[in-house]
Amino acid sequence: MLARVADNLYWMGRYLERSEHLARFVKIQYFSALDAPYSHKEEMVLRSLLAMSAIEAPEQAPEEEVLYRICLEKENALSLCSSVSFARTNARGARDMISAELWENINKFYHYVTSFPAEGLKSRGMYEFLQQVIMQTSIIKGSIENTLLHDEVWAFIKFGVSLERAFQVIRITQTKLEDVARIEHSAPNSEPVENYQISTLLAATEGFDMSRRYYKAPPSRRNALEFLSFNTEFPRSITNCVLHMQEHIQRINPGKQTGKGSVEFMIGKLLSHLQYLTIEEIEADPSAFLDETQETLYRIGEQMNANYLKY
Amino acid sequence: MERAPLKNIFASYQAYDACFDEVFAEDGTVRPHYHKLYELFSGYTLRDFQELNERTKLAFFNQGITFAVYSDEAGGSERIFPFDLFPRIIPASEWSMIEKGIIQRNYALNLFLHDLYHDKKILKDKVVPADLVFSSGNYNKYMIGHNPVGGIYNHISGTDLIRHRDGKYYILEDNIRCPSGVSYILANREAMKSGLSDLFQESQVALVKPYPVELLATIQSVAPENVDQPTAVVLTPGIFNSAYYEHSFLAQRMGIELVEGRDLLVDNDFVYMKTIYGRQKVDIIYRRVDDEFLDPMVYRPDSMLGVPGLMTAYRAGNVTLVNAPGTGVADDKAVYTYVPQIIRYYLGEEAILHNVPTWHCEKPDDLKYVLGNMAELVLKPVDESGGYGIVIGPQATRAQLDEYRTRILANPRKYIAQPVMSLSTHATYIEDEVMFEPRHIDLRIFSLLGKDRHYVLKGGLSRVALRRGSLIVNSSQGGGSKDTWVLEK
Amino acid sequence: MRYSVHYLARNHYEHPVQEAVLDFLVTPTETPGQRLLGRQSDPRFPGKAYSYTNIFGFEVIRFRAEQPFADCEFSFSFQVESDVQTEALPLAFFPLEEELAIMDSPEFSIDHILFLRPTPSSRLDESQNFFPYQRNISVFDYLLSLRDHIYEAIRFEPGITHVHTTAEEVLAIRRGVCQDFVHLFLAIARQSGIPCRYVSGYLDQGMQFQGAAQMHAWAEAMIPGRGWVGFDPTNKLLADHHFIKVSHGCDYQDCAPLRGIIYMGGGQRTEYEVVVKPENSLVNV
Repeated sequence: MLARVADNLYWMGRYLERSEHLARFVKIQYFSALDAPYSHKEEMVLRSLLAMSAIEAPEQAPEEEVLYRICLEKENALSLCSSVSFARTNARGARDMISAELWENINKFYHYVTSFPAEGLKSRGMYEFLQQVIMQTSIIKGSIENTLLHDEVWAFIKFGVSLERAFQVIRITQTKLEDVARIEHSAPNSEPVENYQISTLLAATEGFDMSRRYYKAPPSRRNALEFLSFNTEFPRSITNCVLHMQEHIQRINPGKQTGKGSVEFMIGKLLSHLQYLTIEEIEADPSAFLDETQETLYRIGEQMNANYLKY
Repeated sequence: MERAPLKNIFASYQAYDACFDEVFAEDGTVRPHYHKLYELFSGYTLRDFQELNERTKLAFFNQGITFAVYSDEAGGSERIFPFDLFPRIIPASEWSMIEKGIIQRNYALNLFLHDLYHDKKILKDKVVPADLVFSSGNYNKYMIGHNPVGGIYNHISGTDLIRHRDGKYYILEDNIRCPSGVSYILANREAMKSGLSDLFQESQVALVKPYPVELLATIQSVAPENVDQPTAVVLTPGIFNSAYYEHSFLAQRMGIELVEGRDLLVDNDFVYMKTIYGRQKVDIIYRRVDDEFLDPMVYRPDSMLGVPGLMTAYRAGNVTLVNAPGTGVADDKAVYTYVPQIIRYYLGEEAILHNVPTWHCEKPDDLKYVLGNMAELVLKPVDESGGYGIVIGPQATRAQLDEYRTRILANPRKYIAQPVMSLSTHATYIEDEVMFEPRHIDLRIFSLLGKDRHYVLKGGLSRVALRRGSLIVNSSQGGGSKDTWVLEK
Repeated sequence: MRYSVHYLARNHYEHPVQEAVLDFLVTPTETPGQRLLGRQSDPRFPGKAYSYTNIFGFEVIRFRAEQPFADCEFSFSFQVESDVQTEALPLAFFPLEEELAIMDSPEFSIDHILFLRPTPSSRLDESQNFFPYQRNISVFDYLLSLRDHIYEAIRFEPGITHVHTTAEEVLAIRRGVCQDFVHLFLAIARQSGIPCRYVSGYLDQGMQFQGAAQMHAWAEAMIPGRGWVGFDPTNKLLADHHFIKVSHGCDYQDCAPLRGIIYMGGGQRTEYEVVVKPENSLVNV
């Protein structure tokens, strides 16, 4: 396979995953805040959305503008709309490798997002929009699973999906931990608020129901952190993502030239680290753990580029 | 023969004057090869058509069968190439003549190209004026003395034909550089099959599906010598090219890689592609990148679409380029007028397909005719391209014609004249009017020439000028297309 | 006459170059009067070299980078022997009518078509042609006068023109270097139907010729019935054993000593050095 095409497939996976997480985070944050148990909700939610998406907006920018920037602004490379657009551009560069079904679904998705009217974003329209984005990414992932050969084409897409998912889970967790810290700062010892934010964190990573089932207890900060970091069976935990990265890279490189410094080596090392780490070790300063893991993932991304994708 | 009933969907159909209508004869009756189709269509309502039309459009859009419009911002907006549900039908007898004519033309043009880049006999024998060839700017010095594998230059041709009011087909243009549009033929057929499946049950229509297989066999037939299992690729300028859909479509159907210039490199006169496991040698490049962008070392140094060193690898015989560079010298508008002479010179045969008749003012008899009939003719300088210096007799003023007469007399060698050709019309569904109306059409035919093999795609791209009265069929200027059926008998 | 020729190019790039392909057209060619006796090269470059023959039959040495680099240096040495004599040339090779008959035959113009068509650098409007051939003297005599006219009309001055300067521009500013003299010569001779080609090479540096410090350019014209003869409008000379030919082509673009595609950002600095010494002085080096 051409290195450039592999690059296209990998980035297609990454942008699709990014779109999905951004859409879900905005949806959960925005709509669950409507009945949240604390004051200055609107300001708080907007700040949190901007932090997670890394999009900038002027201080005091009205809600509508912030939402427009995050969801629809074509000129901003970090917006949801751009993310979908990049996913499609990359799919197009690998058009002859993927199935007609997958391509058509991505193409439809692109046309839906890019032609969505800015006025339509207010109130009901926004819910519809985000719900559609989440649904369509899910359909697209279905086509990835069900219409492609599970060969290296598929593995490059899936590798991109897994790596991006790990990044997004880290990012969402960091953002929510900051929200909690901010609330505690303004209103100390407000347990219901903390519980509320932790629930939002789990919902934004689609882990609410499964963590309840797993722990058989209402969500707590500790359980949520452990669940999202180390649970090997939950598909949105960091450790599970890295497990999948390892699986996919092995499919790409069955020859296993996995010397020191190779991407295979780096993934193996990170995975062992995660598998023997416990919640007790990170609980006191989860942010340091998240930063460090994020940094390692960046380096894995760079090495992936150097080993397979550079052209 | 039955009269066209007034109450059906063709009730208000009004053919253009002085044009050949493909569906209806002059007396308003339906031509025999359209009978079956006409009967089937008469059972439809306009509403049925409207729905079908919408459905087909959406299918094309979702599949990304679109072309980019350059006037918009980078990356551009995408439009579908409008598709008409009423197919154009070519009877078997007409087709066999077209097919023979195309093959004859391809062989003659190929011999012409070989001669131009070797002994130049046809020029020395003054059959084609040397000035005409060398002044075109398309004579490629990097091709001089080079022997492409199998001696083939024009592997892929997209020949444009029209049908004049006399009912005869005429060649309008030989496209033998990087002709495009073949993917629409296949996509149109798919759309027709899903939209109007019952039509196919009734008719014996030649398949267009074999084209990618034939194309692959053709390009493999000209692999460099001593290569056992040649690797072929399609070279595209990239996803922002207006024909990218076609490039990816053909690569996929042939099962070969679609590459961009940046995916390739030349080392020691061999071409390689950069894969995830390292370099892999490439032997055949079906390139959809124009000559001047192929290799920045010899052509445009600013080209980011090409591969530095590609031309030396090509000249060393280590890679085949399809089509060969430098074919543009033979599909030039000025050279076109000499194709009948070219066929006679190399093959000793008369041209099967007509050229648009051309009077060369350098010949005294022709000059006399031209000067006597200026008001009915199209007058052109031989060496200008892009429509410069053309005067259309019936639309010109007396003063313009007098001025042109002076110019011709001052330098008769520089001018040619042709009759005003009329494109035939075909019943076409017009969305805005919600009815069938006549529209002008032409026909692009795709054919292949390989080592010891040739193939003509039984079908074609019938391009439609969707604006009423317009003669412009280009997709960028309001053109659409029709599925084209070649009947098997 | 024996020469030792040394060509050196040294490049420095502001940012490391990721990909590069460089072609050197600097090797003295073999002609009936010129022989290449020896060659050495010493490239400092992170990549392999191979050579190919260009469309006019001349050797090009190509380098392609295999690793990023910021500095590179290419040094080539050649030992050449030349015994091209001009005294042996008769003033006219054929009677005038015969020369003209050859020139007017379709074979003559078609066979030499590449050297008869104007190129972007050697384009000149016919109205600007100050010395067209009148067909009343031999082609050789006409070309001698053309050479002299250009020598008189243009002042040798480096730094005014560049490699894309056209014959028309040279005529307007009346200053330039050897390739400008040659492009003008080509433009005018070709308009008269005389096939004429651009030649690049080295000049004996012991002779006080203009243009000897770098690679030099002169013209070769096809004298009907005789063959190609070299004219140097920059020095008002015929090309003899002081001229070491490297290549010819339609114009400068076909003969550029260094040509390349480099993918990089930022600026670059290039130095060239050409040393041509008659072999007898080698003992002093």
